[in-house]
Amino acid sequence: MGDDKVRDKAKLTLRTSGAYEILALFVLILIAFAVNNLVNVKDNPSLRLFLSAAFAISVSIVFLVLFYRQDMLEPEPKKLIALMFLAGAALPILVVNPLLEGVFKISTWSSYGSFMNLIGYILVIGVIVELSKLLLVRYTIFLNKEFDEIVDGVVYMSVVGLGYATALNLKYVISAQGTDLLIGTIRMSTMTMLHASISGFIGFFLGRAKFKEGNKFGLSLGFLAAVIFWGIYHLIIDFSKSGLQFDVWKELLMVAAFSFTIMTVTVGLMRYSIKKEIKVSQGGDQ
Amino acid sequence: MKTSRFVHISDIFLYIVVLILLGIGSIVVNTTINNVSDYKGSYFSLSYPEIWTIRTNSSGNYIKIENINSKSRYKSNLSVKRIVIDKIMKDKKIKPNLNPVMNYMIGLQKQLPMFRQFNTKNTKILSMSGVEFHFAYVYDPPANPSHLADIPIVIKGFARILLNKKGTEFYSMMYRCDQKLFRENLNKAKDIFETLRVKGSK
Repeated sequence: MGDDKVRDKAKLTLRTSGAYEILALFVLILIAFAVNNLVNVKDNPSLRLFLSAAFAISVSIVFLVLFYRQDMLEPEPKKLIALMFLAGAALPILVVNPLLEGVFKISTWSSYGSFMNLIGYILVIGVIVELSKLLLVRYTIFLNKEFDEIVDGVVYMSVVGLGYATALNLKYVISAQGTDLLIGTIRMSTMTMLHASISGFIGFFLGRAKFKEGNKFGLSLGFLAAVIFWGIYHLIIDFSKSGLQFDVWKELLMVAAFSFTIMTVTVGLMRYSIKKEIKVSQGGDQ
Repeated sequence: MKTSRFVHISDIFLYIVVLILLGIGSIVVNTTINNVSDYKGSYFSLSYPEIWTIRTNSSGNYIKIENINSKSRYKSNLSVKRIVIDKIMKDKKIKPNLNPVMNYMIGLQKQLPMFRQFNTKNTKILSMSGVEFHFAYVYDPPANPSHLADIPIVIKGFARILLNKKGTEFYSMMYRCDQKLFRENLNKAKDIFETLRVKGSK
């Protein structure tokens, strides 16, 4: 009876948790809009930097809660979640950026036009970024006994993606000495959604690789799809610009819609997986 | 196939996919970067990246190569200008020296707003002697209402001015770009400068 209650609660939470967190994100953007209009941050660089950094971290916390709550059947230890988040944040600084700059000379060819960027996003940037996150999870938490269900792949990969995006967002905020609060918050939200969603998507296949025997190609295909997502992201960015004109709202809306689509697919995969586990568990009880 | 907890069969397929993707990526990137076009003019020749665009003047003593894909409103560019030294100077039969080059540099300072010059050093390339220096100035982009802000851009540059052996002419080579892109593209610019061949020089 106690188990049934937990399952019913789990099903209910599955339906509502995503909606709550998306709502929280909109509230955050509204707060950014309000603060942007009420507080004169333009003339106060220190305050602007502080508020931009605060929003960068807040965005990550909202998404962290979103992904964490999806795994309500057997929540992961908070300590491990925090460790993976920090490890993810270290990736762009210690591994990915030095690799992209030092070995793949990204700055040399990134200004070589749209086609070059598309190729670069898919075949170099997407591969290196997602491979680094994947290897981090694969050779740490994947080997731990706490990684005991398929959904854990999504949770830990998403958390690493969130850490990664947080480090990038903070770097963006610091290098620009703070940002326009509204535009900055929306842009950081979309980037965070994108990283978390694409990583979570791969995480699903990583989880399946551990628990579904004979699943040889799933991880490779999931990875391939993820790097293609980075190419689509580049096309969206390219499409939202025309010549020298720069339409930030168009770009933000399109990236948000794309990120949301991947996130919905990922959450859908997670729910499907959890439903199956609940079904198996119910079948075992009868 | 026997696998361990560190290497699953799915890992092996993943690594194969990664190797294929990175391999193709590296080939495409390197091929594109290394594709060059050649400019052969009346006075000098130069090799430059194929996707950059080139403009020359009618007399062929000035070329400007621009990277139209630069991620800035100021498009990174390289220019080469051949400057014939004042006939009076030549007639005086003064031993070739860098005075005309220095005068040219002073002229530049006057033309460009808030011009700053750093790291000047003498150099000797292709039997020609001259100077190299880094500089910066402020560029005011044309007004465009669609942009978020029409704020001035700080341009950074690298210049190499070389005097020919006879002291009858000099070549001013300049690389200029948005200061944010300067460091990452400087070596590429220097590589292009190295391909300059002047008629008569070895």
